[in-house]
Amino acid sequence: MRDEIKDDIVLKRVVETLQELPPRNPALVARILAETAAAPVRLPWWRRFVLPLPAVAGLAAATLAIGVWFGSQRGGASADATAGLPGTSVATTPAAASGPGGAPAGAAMRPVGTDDEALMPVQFTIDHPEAKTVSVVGEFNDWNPEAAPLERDPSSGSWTTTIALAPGRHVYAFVVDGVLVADPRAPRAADDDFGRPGSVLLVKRP
Amino acid sequence: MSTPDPSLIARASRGDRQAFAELVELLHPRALRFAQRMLGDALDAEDAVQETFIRVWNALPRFREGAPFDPWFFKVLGNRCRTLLDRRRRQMTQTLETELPGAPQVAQPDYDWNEEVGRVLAQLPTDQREAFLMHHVEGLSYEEISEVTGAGLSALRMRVKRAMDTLRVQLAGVANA
Repeated sequence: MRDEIKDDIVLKRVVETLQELPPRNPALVARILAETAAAPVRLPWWRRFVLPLPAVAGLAAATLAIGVWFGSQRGGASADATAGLPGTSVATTPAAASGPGGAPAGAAMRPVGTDDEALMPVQFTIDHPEAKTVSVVGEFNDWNPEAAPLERDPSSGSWTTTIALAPGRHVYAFVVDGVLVADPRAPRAADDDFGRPGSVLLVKRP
Repeated sequence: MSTPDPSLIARASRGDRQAFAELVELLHPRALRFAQRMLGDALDAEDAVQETFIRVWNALPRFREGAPFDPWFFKVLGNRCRTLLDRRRRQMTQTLETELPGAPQVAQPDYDWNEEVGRVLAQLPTDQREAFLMHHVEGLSYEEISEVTGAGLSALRMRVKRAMDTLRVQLAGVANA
C-alpha cells in the first residue's frame, strides 16, 4: 500500500479490493500452453553469442564511432545523438532523395516492402580500425549478422557496405566483433521494447 | 506480489517451455486481475491475457536478460486491453447507429462494495483507469508506467490523482453505508 493512500480510508479499501487476485484459471493456462506449444522457438541471432560483460564494457570504452549519415539533408539529425561521443565516423548513405550514390546491395539482402517498390542504395560506414568483423543487421535482413558484412578500408580503417533498401522506416544496428551496437549518430528506435539497441533509418522515395 | 524470478525469465527466453509454463502459472492471476479491471468483462479479460502470453512467448527470446520484466509485460497486456476496448467501442458505435433511441439508462441502487468499485472504475477514462491500476494495484512506479504508456510523468500523476478523486467521491457514501 503506497503512502499516499494508506491514511485514506476509502481509497485504502478500494485498493485492497482491487488487489484481490482472481483464482487461478487452469483452463486458461491450458489454452495458452496449447497455443504456444504449436509455435516454434525462434531464437534471435544474438542468443548464439556469449557476450561477457567485460568485453562489452571494453568495447564501450573504446573510441568507437559508428554512424550512418542519411544523405546531406539528414546529416543534422545525427548531431545530437553523437554528443559526448568521440565519434569519427560515419557513414553513409545514399541518397535516397538525391539519387543513387552507391552500389546495389548484396544478394543476401531482403528489402522491406513489396517487390514493385524501387530500392534505394544505402551506404553504411563505421570507423573502427581495431575491429575484426563488422556487419549491419536490421529488420531488412532478419537481424542476420552474416547477411551484410562491412568491408574494411586498409588506409582509413573504416568499414563500409552498401545495401538496397525499400523506401520507408528501417530499424537496424551494427555488430562489431559480435557485439550489437546502436548507431550513436542516428535516432534510437522508440519502439525497441525488447531492450535491444536499435537505430532508425528513413529511406525516402526516389 | 507475483513477480517472476529473473532466472525463470532467462530460461523461458531461451525457449524453455517448462519455464514458460511456470511463468504462465505464476503470472496469469495477476494478468487476469488487471485485464478484468481494465475491461470489466471476464471473458474479454481471458482473451486479452491469452493473446498477451502468446505474444510474450514469441517475443521473449528478444527480451534482454536482466531488464525489468513487469513494465514490459504490462506494456504488452495494456496494449491488448486497449485494442479490445477500441474494438468494443467501434462495435457499440455501430450498434447504436442502427438502433432506435431507447429509454435512458437509469442506474440501479446497488450497494455491493465490490460491484460499486467495479462500476466506478469502469466509468473512469481509460488513461486514468490504466494509470491508477498500474500504480496502486500492480505496484509500478511512475517511471515504469511512463515507459509502458509513453506518457509523461506529470501527466501520469495527474491521471492517477483524478482517478483517486473520482473514486473517493463516488465511493465515500458506499464505504460508509
